[in-house]
Amino acid sequence: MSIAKIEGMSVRYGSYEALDNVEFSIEKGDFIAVVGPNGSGKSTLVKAMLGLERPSAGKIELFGLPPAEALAKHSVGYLPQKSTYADPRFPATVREVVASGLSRRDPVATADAMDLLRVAALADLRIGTLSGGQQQRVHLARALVRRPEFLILDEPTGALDPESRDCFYSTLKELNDEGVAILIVSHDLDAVSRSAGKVLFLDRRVLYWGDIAGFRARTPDHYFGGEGAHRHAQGHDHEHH
Amino acid sequence: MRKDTIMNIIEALSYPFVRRALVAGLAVGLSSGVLGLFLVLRRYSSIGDGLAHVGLASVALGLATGLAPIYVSAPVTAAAALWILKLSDKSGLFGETAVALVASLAAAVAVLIAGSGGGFAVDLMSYLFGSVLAVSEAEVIVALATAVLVVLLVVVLRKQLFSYVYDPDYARVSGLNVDALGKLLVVLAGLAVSVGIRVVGSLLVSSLIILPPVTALQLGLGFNLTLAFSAGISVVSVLAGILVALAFDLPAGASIVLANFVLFGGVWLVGRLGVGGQGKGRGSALGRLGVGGQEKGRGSGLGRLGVGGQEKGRGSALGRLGVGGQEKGRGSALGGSSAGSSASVEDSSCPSLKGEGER
Repeated sequence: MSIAKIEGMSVRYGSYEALDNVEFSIEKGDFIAVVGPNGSGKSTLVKAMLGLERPSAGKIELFGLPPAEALAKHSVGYLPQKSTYADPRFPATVREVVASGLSRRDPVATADAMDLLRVAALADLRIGTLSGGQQQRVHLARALVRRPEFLILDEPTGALDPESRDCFYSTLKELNDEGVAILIVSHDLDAVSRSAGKVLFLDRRVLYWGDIAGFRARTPDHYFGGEGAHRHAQGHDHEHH
Repeated sequence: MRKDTIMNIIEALSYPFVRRALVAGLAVGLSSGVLGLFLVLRRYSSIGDGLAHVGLASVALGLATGLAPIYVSAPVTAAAALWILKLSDKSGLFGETAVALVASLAAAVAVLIAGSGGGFAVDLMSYLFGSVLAVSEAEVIVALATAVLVVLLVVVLRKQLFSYVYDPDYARVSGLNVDALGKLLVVLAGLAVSVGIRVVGSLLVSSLIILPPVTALQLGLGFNLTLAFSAGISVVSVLAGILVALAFDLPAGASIVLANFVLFGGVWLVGRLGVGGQGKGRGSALGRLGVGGQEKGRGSGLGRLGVGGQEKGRGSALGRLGVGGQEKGRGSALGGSSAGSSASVEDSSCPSLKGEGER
């Protein structure tokens, strides 16, 4: 059974087509990077997969079920794009935020997740008083605390310093080695290409879907040096219309 | 307090209607203090105002038809709460205009019914300004039932409710039925308001929902403690307001709201005048009093007692004390390092999933 299966999915906002006929599938153990320019529909894709946006056409299945049913039965970790702007007045400690990723009280799992993301020392501080990078790590801890079968991360490293970013990717690699399927939306093609096995290059429709080596071979090297517009990706492993 | 004032209060408490007023008031105070925090954090704080208008219109309807007002106002106000929620979420109305829309309609209905010449305008006025001593047994039952449901809700679903108010999208992805949680909260708020307008009046009932959580939020605590303080502040305000009203023959509704303001002002003042304040309103008022600004006494309060420094007061007190990050006898990411001089000092090594059990 696939972790996720997307068939002919389109998402419209009025007359604007944010996604057009997107098709791909995710299997257990996949590590997929979703890349593309601003406004290419990356976050829309994530939201549709999580049932937060309703597709105008096509079909989405997670674990063989519609998203709402699947999310009630399976453990999916999610890091939203805007996870670094907690309201400083919001009365939530780091510990409370991380624990909210669990359906029941489990102080040991909460402490483990905080250790893993190096936020244990901040446990009793209010989330809104932390820096953007610290908040992002706290929300990553929340995503990991329930030991997800499938992890969806929307721009997870934007506020992290290089050291934390490397650490983060090595943690993801370990999770992936344990069989957790990972889908990561990122602009950081260089960093993500060192961990991901497959690439979905999106510009409102799928322009490339295949292994990272094939994508690298078709893309000029300097695009792997950091922020990159990837419009130079030439050719497709699979044809998409 | 003078002896005859105390005697006045004791004598008043011997009357059943005064005891009913206290029970209903405290139950409404508890419900609104708890529900208020969730509503304020979900940016629904003005819903209390809208529901107060609906409550008044439905009381007018009850009086006009000869039914006990609470039997009309409780279901109608709860239904209106659901309608407001639906308008806010689904209709594409901007911000809290859904509340204003429903409130305007309800106010117009109330005025129309009151002006129909049914001879109940005086009774209606008691709901406009509140008349806690006139609380009926049915209103006491609704108040108590609402309070019990609210307490049960918080005991059973506190984690889910936290997730819902902190990050609704994440809560949905976690498999929570956030629509149902939202409906549950506003229906209970509707019930609390329907009794609340008897206690403090429809003009003031929204303050029962807004003031206690806003006061508690100033304390700079985590969620669980903020929730407890919000409920406590609300109950204390209601108790103080009713007792002061009895002692000095004042309107109870206004006394309750003023008691709320006194607590709000007191906490604000402590925050402003406290030693070692951080400015920008970000610090914990309790912390400035040296009580321990975070749960379990580990947070900013200790830090502000003067060990080490941290810019903008954002650090962990334990970090500043160089204690490191031991938790419950198990190693943390800091690994018990004494090098920590602030919360921003973190382990330079990269924790591994494989090493978790050994740390």
